[in-house]
Amino acid sequence: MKPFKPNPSMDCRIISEKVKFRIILSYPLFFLLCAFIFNTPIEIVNGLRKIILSPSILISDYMAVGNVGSAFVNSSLLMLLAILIAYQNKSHMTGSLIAAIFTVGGFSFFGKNIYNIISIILGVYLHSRIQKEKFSKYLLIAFFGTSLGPLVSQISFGLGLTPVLGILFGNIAGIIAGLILPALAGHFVKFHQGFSLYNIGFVSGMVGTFFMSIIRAFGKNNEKALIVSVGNNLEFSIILGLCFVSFLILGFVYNNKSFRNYIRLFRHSGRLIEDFVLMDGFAITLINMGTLGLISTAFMLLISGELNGPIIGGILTVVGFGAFGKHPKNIIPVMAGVFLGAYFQVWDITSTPVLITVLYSTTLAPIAGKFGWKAGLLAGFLHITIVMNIGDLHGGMNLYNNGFAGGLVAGTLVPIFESFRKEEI
Amino acid sequence: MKGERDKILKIMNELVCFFFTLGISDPHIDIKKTETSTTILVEAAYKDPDHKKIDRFQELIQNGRQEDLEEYYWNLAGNSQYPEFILLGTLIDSANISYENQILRIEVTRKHN
Repeated sequence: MKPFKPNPSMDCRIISEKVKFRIILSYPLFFLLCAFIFNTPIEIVNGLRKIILSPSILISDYMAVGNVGSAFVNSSLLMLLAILIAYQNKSHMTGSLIAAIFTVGGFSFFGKNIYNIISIILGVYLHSRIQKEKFSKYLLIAFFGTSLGPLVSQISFGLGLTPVLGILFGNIAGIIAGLILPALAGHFVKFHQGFSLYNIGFVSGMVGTFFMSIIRAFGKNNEKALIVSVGNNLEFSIILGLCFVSFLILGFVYNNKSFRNYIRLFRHSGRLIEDFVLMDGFAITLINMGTLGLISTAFMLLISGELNGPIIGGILTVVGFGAFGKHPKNIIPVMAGVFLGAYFQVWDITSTPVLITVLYSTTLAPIAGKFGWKAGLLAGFLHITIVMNIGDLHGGMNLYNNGFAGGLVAGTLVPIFESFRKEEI
Repeated sequence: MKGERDKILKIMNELVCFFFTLGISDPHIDIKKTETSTTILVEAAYKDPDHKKIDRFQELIQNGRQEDLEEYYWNLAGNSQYPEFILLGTLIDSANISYENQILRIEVTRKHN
C-alpha cells in the first residue's frame, strides 16, 4: 500500500498552530478595540461593574445591563482568557476548541462574565486533580461548562442573600457544578448519540434543574428576565460583517487563493465529533465560519430582527460551530423548521427569544445532515415548542437552554428515525 | 488509569467496524496491553481492496491524539451504527496500516499517560 501522504488541500498540516492561535486571537482583540467606539474607558469600567454584579439570568443582555462597550470588553476578556488557558495547556487549535472559544465569547454578551465563570472552571480543574489527569483533557468541558455562569451570579446577587453569604454560596455552587460536569458530559452524550452539538447545554440543563429545585425548596425563586438592547443594527452589522468577511479572506488566502473544496465540506453530517479543522483543514474551516456568519447575520436583518447581545451571541456561536459540525446545508433546514414553528405557533417571530432560538436551534444540524432536510425541518419545528417550555425548569440559570432542549429533541427523534431506516447487514 | 479498559474496547470496536464497512467478515484481533501502552492489531484476508475507503480511513486517524476531545467524547466511539473514525484517531498515539499479499493489517497503539 502506498505510504500515507497528507492531502495538499488539508492545509491544517501546513498552517502552524502558532498562526492558527494568532488568527483566532485577533478577533477578541478586534472586539476590544470596537468597545471604545461606543463608550469611554470610564463608562466601560462602570458597565463592567454592573455586568459582574448582575444576576445574569437568561435573557440579560449585557449591552443593556452595562453598556455596549463593556459588553464587548467582557466578551473580549473571556475569549482571551480561554485562548490563554488553551495555549498554556498546549492544546491544538482544533475545531472543537474554536467552537468553545467563540461560544464563550458569544455568551459573554449575555450571561457569562469574568466573575461567574471562574468557580466553574476551578471546579473542573479540581475534578482533573482528583482524577490525577491533565487539565487539558477537560478544557472543552471547562469552557462549555461556563453555561452555568448565571447559577453563580444569581445565588451571589439575585437571591437577596447578604453579599458575603451570596458570594460564598454562589461560588460553592459553581465549584460543585464544575466538579460534576465532566462525569455527566461523557455520560449524557450517549443519550443523543452526538446529534445535538451543544451537549454541555443538555448536561447543564439537568444540573441547573437540580440547583433550581434546591433553591425553590428553600422558598426562593428566580424572577424571569428579558433585558435586551435596541437600536444598534447598523454599527453591529458593520462590525460583524468585517469579522466574517475577514474569515472568508483569510480562508481564501490560506486555501491557495481559492474556495476550492469548500462545497466538499457539506458532505459531513456534522454529528459529533466532526472536527472540520482536522478533517478538511483550517482554511476551509475559516471559509465555512465566514459563510455561516454572513448567512446568520443576513437572516436576522432580513426578518427585521434587532441585533443585540443575545443575537450577536447566537451568531458567534453558529460561527464557532462552523469549525465543529455546522455548515449551510445542515443548519438551514433546522432554522427553517424553527421559523415555520414560530409562524404557526403563538410566538412573536421577531422577538429576541424566538430569534435566538432560530440561531441556537442549529445544535440539531446533525439531524438534517444525517437524515435529510425534512428531518431537519421537523426537528426545528419541534425544537421551538420544547425550548419555550423548559427554561422554567432551571430558572434561566443554564445559558444553553437550546442545548438542553436540543438534547431532548435529538435523544427522542434519532431513535425514531433510526427505527425506520434499513438495517445494515 | 480510570476508564482505560473501556476506551481500549471502544477503539477495538471502531477498528472491527471499519473492517465490516469494507465487507470483511472475519477479522482477527490481537491485543497486547502493557504497563505503558496497549497495541491492537486487526488483520484479515481482503481481496479487491477499496483503496479510496482505506485512504480516507488512514487520513482520518492520522491526526494524532487529541486529549481535549478524548475525555468529552470517547463515549461516542464504538457504536456500529455511527462509526467514528475521526474520534478513533483522537484516541490513539500511532497507527500503522498495511496491505500486502491480500492481507489488510491495521495496528494502533495507545499510550497510558
